[in-house]
Amino acid sequence: MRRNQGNISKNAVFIIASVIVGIAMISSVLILKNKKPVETAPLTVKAAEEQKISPDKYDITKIKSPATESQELYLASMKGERPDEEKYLKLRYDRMLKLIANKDLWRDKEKKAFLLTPRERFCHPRNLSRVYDHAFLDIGYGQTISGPHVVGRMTSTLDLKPGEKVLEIGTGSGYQSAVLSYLTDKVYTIEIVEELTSQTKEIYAKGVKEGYPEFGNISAKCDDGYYGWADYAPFDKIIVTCGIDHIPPELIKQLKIGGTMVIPVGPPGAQVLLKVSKTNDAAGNTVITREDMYQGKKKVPFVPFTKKGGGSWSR
Amino acid sequence: MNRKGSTGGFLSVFFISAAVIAYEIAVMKIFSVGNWSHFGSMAISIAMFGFGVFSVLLCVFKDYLLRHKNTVLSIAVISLGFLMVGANSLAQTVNFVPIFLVSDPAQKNNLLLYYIYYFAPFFAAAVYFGMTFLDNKEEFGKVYFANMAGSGIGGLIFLFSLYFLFPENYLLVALFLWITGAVLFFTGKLARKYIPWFVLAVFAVFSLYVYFPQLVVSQYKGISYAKKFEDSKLIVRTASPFGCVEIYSSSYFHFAPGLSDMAAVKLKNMPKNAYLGMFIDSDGPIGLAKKLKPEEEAYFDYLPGSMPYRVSKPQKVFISQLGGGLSTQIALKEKAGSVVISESNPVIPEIFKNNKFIKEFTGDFLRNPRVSLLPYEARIALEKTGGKFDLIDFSLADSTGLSMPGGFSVGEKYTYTCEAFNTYLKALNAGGIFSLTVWNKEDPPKSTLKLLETFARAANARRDASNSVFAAQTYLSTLTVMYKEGGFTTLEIKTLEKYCASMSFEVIYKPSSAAPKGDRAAFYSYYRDLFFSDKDDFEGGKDRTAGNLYKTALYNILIEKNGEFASKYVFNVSAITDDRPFLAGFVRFKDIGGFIGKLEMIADEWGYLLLWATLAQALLIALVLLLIPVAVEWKTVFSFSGGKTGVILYFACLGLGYMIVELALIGKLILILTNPAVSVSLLIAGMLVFSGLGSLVSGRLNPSKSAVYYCAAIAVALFGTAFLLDKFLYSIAGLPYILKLCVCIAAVAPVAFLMGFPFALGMSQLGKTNKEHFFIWSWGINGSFSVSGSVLTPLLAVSFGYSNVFFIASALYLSAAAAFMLIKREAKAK
Repeated sequence: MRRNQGNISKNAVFIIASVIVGIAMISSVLILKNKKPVETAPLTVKAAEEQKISPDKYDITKIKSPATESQELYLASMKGERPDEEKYLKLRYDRMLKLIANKDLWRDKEKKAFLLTPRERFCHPRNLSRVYDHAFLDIGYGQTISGPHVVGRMTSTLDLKPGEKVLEIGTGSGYQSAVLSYLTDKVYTIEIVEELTSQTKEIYAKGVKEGYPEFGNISAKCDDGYYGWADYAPFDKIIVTCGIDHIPPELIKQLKIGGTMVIPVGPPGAQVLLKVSKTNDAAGNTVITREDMYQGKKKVPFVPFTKKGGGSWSR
Repeated sequence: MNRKGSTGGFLSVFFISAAVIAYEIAVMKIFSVGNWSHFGSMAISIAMFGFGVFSVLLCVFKDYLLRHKNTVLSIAVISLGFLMVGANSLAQTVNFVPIFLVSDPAQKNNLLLYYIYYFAPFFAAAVYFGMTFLDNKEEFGKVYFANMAGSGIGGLIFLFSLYFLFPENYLLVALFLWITGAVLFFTGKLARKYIPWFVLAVFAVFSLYVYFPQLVVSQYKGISYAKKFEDSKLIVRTASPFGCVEIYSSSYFHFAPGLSDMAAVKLKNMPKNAYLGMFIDSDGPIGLAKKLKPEEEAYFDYLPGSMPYRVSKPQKVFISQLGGGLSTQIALKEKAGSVVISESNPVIPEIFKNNKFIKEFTGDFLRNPRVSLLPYEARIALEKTGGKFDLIDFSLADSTGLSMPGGFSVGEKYTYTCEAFNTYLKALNAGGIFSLTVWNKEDPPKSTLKLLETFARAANARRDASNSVFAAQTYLSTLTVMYKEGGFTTLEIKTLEKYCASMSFEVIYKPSSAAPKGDRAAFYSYYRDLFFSDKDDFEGGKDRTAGNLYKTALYNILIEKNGEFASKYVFNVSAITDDRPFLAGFVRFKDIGGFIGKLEMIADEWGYLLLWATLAQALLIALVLLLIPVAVEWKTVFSFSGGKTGVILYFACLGLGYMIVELALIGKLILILTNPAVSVSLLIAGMLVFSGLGSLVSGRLNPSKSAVYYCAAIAVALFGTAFLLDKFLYSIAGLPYILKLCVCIAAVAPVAFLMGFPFALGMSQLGKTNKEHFFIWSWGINGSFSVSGSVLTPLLAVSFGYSNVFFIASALYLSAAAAFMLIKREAKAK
């Protein structure tokens, strides 16, 4: 027994020394090698003043609709039309089916806008493998790109018609505005983080050149979205994608009578959609009403019920 | 060994213990400032298993390690400081963002990296303590006293360092304590040859410390956004145990909590640049309200906080929490005769009073002769002064109900218990109004309903409250509930209804409310189906708005009063009491499994659910640590030792029991102690020192004769505590703060002193009977189960209440007594 313990003792040098000294060595190496990821956004455009991406608006009636009946037909209809990679087109189509099942998309026009918008262009490269997942993703600067379900639900709730003016507060990745640009030629978006504004403007400009002329319908600026965009007010629709403890009065003022505003409330991923309507009552007084999008008759939180018991993260 | 039994040796243990505890608290604080605190608790609690792991290694390789004890101890001491800084430096490079934990697989790896990094320094500490304990087993009581006292004092030193250290320098305290402990260690002759290595290590440690950031604040913390605003300017930065307070000015700060949507239509002058942003430990912002010009003051009318003033012109107003001063500004604008503010954080009023910029910005209202300040929580302030008020205002005094990324941590909320509401209502003059405004950002709601249940229970306990309550909400914004002593008059109800209509606030309860229509069973199953059914169409045509939900709930709890809503609603929204003071645990126990895979739907419950996850991990690791020696070396190591079942049981019970009692006592005592940040640290220090004294004195006793009696005595004391603690606390609640703190420490001291005996007696018993393998293994078992106990306590308290937690602890000590008898019997049999 003692001999046995002696053998054990011989090995103890390795165990103790490797745990203490080894960890210390590895730590030093890792410290030298590890650096906090650096934000890589270009800082090329000085923001604060309005900059249109394209002097010419793109006529959205010219947009050729993709096929929606099946994935094969969709792929075929997109071939040669857009420079999208096939793997993303497949993921996009599959996600659309799930959004329809979850009632995040229910009109053809929004389905088509979703199928035409290259989400992968707005996603951080490190998250490309999950770009069409049911998930919001990090884009740096403490900001996220909303999940496809949130974008689908908000876009559908807006019910944007061609020619309507829509204002987005919180450009973020730029994806939401891109989706809207397929539905109207008057999209205005404001972002508070200068680097993100610069980044999205470059994405839009590049997109216009590379076969996404609809991005030319987007006007973007870096500013405090709390005060809206008075130069282009009033707006038919307003979409707010950043958190605040009240609805900015200026935004309500800049909303047309009969207009709709949508705001997601709550922490990312567990948001509920607040729909605000501005109308006149019989006496001509302005009335502001808050409601969930189904007027309380039916609620579907932003989580798919595609499968009982979970499995929310499948592509 | 030259250090053995020497004063220098004990002092070294004292300072290294102090360093380790200062490090542990510093890391938790760094998590709290830079990221989210409960993930820090999770990472640290797992890292603490370094103690358990080494106890297993020491158990198996005892002979070898003892032969090379000077080398092993020296390496442990030298590497401890290096690993403390190295681990924290590495942890700051981890880009962990809790909100992506469910969706992004990389985040789980990041969490794992925290475990790995922080494991290293705790393992080094475990090597040092384990070897020292084994080396001093005959005088275990003394060395354990040094360990406990060092831990207690280390915590206090860290606490007081918070007055002058900012978060990025929190590690300095641990490093200086480590250097002191190490210098004392290397005064021993046999370890002197390692001094050059120690000097080198000190140099390396400070190089690391200076070169690498020791705190990186997540981009998702409130303060990170403020720093990005282009006109953002830091006005104030102060450090104290109450948190690191930072105040920024920027035109990008826009606050108007619960502002009526009608402000856009009717309000002519919306004040601009009306707020500064205040951040405490990087969380926030809290809006510091500007002194408005008279033409701008109409803005206040559009905030829900002004609702009680529509039916009351109060002379005496009481405001809970100074916050950003908004409620006070409203009270002054409404011409209140006197305004009493209760604010337990002394730092914020100091800033309001003394900072030139802030004084000018806020109109220096704290020096207004009508305004006075009480340095207590509202509940204690009202109990202490016994004053009566015309209006007691809790306007968004807390972040209750405000959904936050990463979820809430599970903490006691004595401000919102039935007993607390009873105190507030008792402090109303005849015709006085109690007004509570809370965030209402959940759909379907949870925390607001729990508060309404609690508030209504307190109100109903006084008299039938159905005519005394008025409540209104704005969907996904705020909810205000008011109670009028003596009931609202018809005219007042009409005035409030008219006001709410003009502001677009939805009235959800008024005296003589009609019963909500519809099938109640279908109503409840609808809310369950939202989460647990894959039906995609729910009862078209039925009113399922949040407003209707509130109306149904309030009608049931104020008029029907049969408890139906609390028992049938999908979430647990039953009233909270001083015994179960938690605004957490909304997910019913039976539903926890059902929410797995739907965690994002209950993001604000993550703090609570993480406790379950941490407990599962802690128990699993404890079990593995128990089983390793059994599986690998049981025969070779333990075959000559009897009593293993008893040993496992005894030390597991003590580990769980001690931690449960410590945390439960703290959880209860903060009910009456103002400034919990300071009080809790003093209490913990007191408990550790008195327990250390207990173990010191235990050295004079014969363990085999006395351990059972001490365990039984503790069990009896805890049994009594379960019955008497609340009564005791209420009886001393009105004493001056310092006296109250002394009484609390004095009351805890005897139990803590007694609780120091069993562990030291058990270890001495093993040490004296040459069961050295058991000796150190037992220490590991105790440590591992302590970690489990720290997680288990809040879960037990949320589920069963604190009085039952004391019963459980009592049962654990009784079990320990029985286990000790088993140790003796098994040893005899062997």
